[in-house]
Amino acid sequence: MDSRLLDALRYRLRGMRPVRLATWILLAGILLQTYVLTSGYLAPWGKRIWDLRTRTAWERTGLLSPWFGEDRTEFLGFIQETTSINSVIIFTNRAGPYGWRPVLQYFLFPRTVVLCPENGLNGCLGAYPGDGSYLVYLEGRPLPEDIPADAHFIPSGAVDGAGLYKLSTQSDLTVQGASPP
Amino acid sequence: MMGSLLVGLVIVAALGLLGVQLLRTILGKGSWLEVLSFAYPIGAGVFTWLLFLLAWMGLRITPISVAAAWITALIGTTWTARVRHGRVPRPSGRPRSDRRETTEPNLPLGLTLTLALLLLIALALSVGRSYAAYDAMAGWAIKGYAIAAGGTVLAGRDWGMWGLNYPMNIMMQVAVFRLFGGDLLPESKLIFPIYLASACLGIYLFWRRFQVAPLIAALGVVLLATNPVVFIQATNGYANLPFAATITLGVLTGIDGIMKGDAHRQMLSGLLLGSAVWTRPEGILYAGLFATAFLAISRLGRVGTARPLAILTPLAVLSSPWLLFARMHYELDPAWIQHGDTAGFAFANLLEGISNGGAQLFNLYLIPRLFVERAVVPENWGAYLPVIVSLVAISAFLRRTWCRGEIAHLAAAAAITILVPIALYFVLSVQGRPDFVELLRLDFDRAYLPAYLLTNVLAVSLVQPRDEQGGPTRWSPSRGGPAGLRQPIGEAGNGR
Repeated sequence: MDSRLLDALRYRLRGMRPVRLATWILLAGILLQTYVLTSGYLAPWGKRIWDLRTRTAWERTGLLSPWFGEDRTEFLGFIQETTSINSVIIFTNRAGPYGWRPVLQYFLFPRTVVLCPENGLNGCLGAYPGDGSYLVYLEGRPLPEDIPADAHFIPSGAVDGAGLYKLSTQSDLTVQGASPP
Repeated sequence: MMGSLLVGLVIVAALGLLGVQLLRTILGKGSWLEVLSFAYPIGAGVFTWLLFLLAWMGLRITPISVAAAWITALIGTTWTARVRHGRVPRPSGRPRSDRRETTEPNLPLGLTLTLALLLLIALALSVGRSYAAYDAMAGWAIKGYAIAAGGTVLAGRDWGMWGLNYPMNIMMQVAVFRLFGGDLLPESKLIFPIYLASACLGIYLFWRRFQVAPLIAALGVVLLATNPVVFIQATNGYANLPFAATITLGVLTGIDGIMKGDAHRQMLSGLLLGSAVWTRPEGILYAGLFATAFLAISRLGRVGTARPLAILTPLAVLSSPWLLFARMHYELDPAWIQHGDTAGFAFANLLEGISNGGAQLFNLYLIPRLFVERAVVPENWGAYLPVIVSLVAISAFLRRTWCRGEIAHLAAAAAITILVPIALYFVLSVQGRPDFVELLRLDFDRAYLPAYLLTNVLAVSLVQPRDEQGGPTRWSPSRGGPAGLRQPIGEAGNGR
């Protein structure tokens, strides 16, 4: 840039008081950000949180997270209510939130959460015998032939057809094929 | 509900009180603004580190043992602070109240009210959102709960993500809340906005110490706090904002200490940088680079007086137990390596990628380009880029503004915070993940938080008003500023 032009600009800016100019720029930035923050985050999230103000912390986690929503949160609530804190909750491995063990651990804490592969479910279940073990039945899985025959089904009121199979110490894992709900 | 909130506030106050005593121990005496800014990050960071050490040595983490550790630490720091107070003579001949008025920056009423309102909103949103974000629930919350339930820091191995590969500052804080109140609200989420408030106050203090006009400093702080990304990160339960806040406070205190040749402030800086290492795995990379840059600028550029031992000793003390622990319990999970979740994995990725010929220089352009694309949309980064560019442009017309010593240190620190996330994501790109661009869009913002804070600090520092002699402009009440700054703030009251 021409040095004379630069000097002229400098002179002009000095006349405008650069610090004052900076003040206006900061103020404009704050106004813009306040609008964006209020309309894009504070207002919508504030309303959602206010609507859920009577819910427990873990329920709000589920209902406000993008992956769980009402059905899944209610189903996890059903597991919490049905099982004791010493239980082992067995999910069959799948894509999506029901396959995310760390997240399931949060929702079902302090229960032990196990992800078993669908192929070889029998062997996986064998590692968790006992009255405190539950197999989660969701979206038609695991397949009926993979479920121990004497496992007792507890239906969930939240999600149609879903529920828990309570495994017992007497469960004979060599005899499979419980009746699907 | 109210009971849980009360327990949460008591824990915050208890950790803050420990921070106050630590500050008194290190600085001798700090201004109330300084205490308010540093107390929680320092208190929480040092206490969780101490608890971690005790638990690693075999102490079971229970409410009684945690309370005993806190009481012992408080007694120890109080006693040390008293001894130190005894050694520092008070300046005589001037009443204390008068000294306070003339040497400590004020927090203008408008800024106080605005920050208080923003903090209240952030606290309500943070607690109200609970742990609804992925890393928040699957990383920080669940590990804290497991540590509280199991009574051991090793509990994190089987619960949540990352095994034992992540530093435990936030997890241990969550564990403390869980132990005493059950985290029913969850009250542990109070801590995240507090880190934002700490950073804002610390930045304001820095600006005023380096004689940025009060109005500009106040507006700059409000601009920082209202940025959408920053505000969301202060409420979603991720560790990135606590990390960015701690590291920013460490950098600013370090610069302040170096410019004034104050070893105590440099020690505080090392402690804060060490707390940052104890908060996120990439902290060691940042802290190492900051320390190197400060020492180099100070020694080679003859800008300020750096005391290497003062900075590096607390940094090493806080970092090394964790690094040793991480090395002992480091677990190579193929999924984590693929995700490049930690600096260690990132380094493994780099070596593997380079040997496979996967490093593409194009990504060094892609990473900043995608960030700029996001940053120019106000819904993402608010007014960040336009404001920064404007302030830097204005500074070109101000006399000698780039020649100031603190600017050299700030510019180096800001450059480091920009380059480190770019470098880490470049390393991640070496794996050739098909979802790399999506990952950048989702995750780069939070990795950029330290750069966001420090580039703002730099840009606002550049528009410092100066008088015709090249010295700092003296603001008087009639010009909208307090009558303070008759002498550089911080010269007094820091124990020198």
